[in-house]
Amino acid sequence: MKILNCPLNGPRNISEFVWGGEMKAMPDPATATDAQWTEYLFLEDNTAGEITEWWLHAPTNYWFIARRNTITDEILETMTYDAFLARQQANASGEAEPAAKPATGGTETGATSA
Amino acid sequence: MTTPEQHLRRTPLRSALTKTGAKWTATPAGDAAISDGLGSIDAARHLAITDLSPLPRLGFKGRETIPAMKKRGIVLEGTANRAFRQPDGGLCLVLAASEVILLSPLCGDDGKLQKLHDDWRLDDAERTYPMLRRDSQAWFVVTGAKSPEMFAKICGIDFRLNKFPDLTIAQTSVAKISAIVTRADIGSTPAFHILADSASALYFFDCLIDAAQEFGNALACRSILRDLESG
Repeated sequence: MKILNCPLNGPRNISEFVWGGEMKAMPDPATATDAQWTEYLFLEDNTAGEITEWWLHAPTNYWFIARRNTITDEILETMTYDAFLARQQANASGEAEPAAKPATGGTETGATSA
Repeated sequence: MTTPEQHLRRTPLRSALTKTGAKWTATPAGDAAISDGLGSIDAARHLAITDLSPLPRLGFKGRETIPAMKKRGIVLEGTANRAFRQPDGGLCLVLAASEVILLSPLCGDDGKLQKLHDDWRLDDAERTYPMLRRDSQAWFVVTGAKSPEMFAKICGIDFRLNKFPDLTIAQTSVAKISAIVTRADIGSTPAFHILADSASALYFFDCLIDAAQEFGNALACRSILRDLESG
C-alpha cells in the first residue's frame, strides 16, 4: 500500500485520498470564453514529469497540494494550500534573479497568476 | 419497559442489539432509549463494543470556532486531532483549527450541549455554527486491552497503546468507511470512541463484531462503561 503524507493528518494509506486534478489558475468567470472555461474545468496538461496537484483526504474532507512525478508516480512532497501560496509568492518575488528556480510544471507557473 | 420505538430518536442499531438480548432504558434527556444489560466489566476490560448513539453530541465549525468555544467555557486548545476532557466528564474533540465535536458524559446529561445549541444565534455573526452530529454520526466505543489488535484488522492506523496515546484522534478510514477514532481511556481501561456515518451504522457494527469475534465477541452497554469509569 502506498503512503501519502497528509499535512493535517500525517501519513495515511493512499486509499484514503482522492486525486483532485492539476493545480491551475482559475480564469475570471466573468470574462473567460467558453473555450477557456472548458479547458479550466475539463482539460489537463498531462505533463510527463513533476507536477503540482490537488489531493483530498476523504475522511476529513481536507484539500491540500502535492507535487508528484507522473513518470515514476512518486509523491515528492505535500503541503497546505497556505504553504503553497507562500512558496509561490516567494518564487514570484525572486523572479528577477538569474537562474531562478524553474517552474516544476506548467501548472505551477499558471497558479502564480491566480 | 422502555423500547426504542417509544422515542422519536432511535439508535440505528436498535434491532441488532435487541436480537442480542439488550434491554433498554431511557436517556436522561428522555428523548431516546439506550441499550442496557449487555456485557460485563471483565469483558469490557478485555474487548467489548458499546453503542452510545442515543447519547447527545454536537459539533461546531467555522473559522472562529476555537475562541468561540473557549468563550463558552469549553476546555480545549487549537491543536488538531487532540481531545480534551471536560469537567463534567464529556469530551471535546478538536478535529481542525475550525472544527470541534462535543461528546456528552456517559451519564448522558445533555443540558450543556442543548444550551450551547439553543444559545447560538445567526445574528451574532460569530464565525462558528452548530453541526448536528447526533443525526449524522453513530457513536461506538471499543474498550479493552485487545482493542488495538482488533483495529489492526480493519484500519491502517497503528492504535497500539504506546503508539497512540490517550486523547489522540485519528480521522481515517475504518472498515472502508470514514470514521473519527478518539482514544479516551475510561478509568484505567483503554477506550476508543468511534464516530461514523449513521446511515452505515449497521454495516459498521457488523464489521466491528466480525473483527472482535476471535477475541471473544463481546458487547457491553453504558452502565458497564460507567462502572469502569468509577473504578
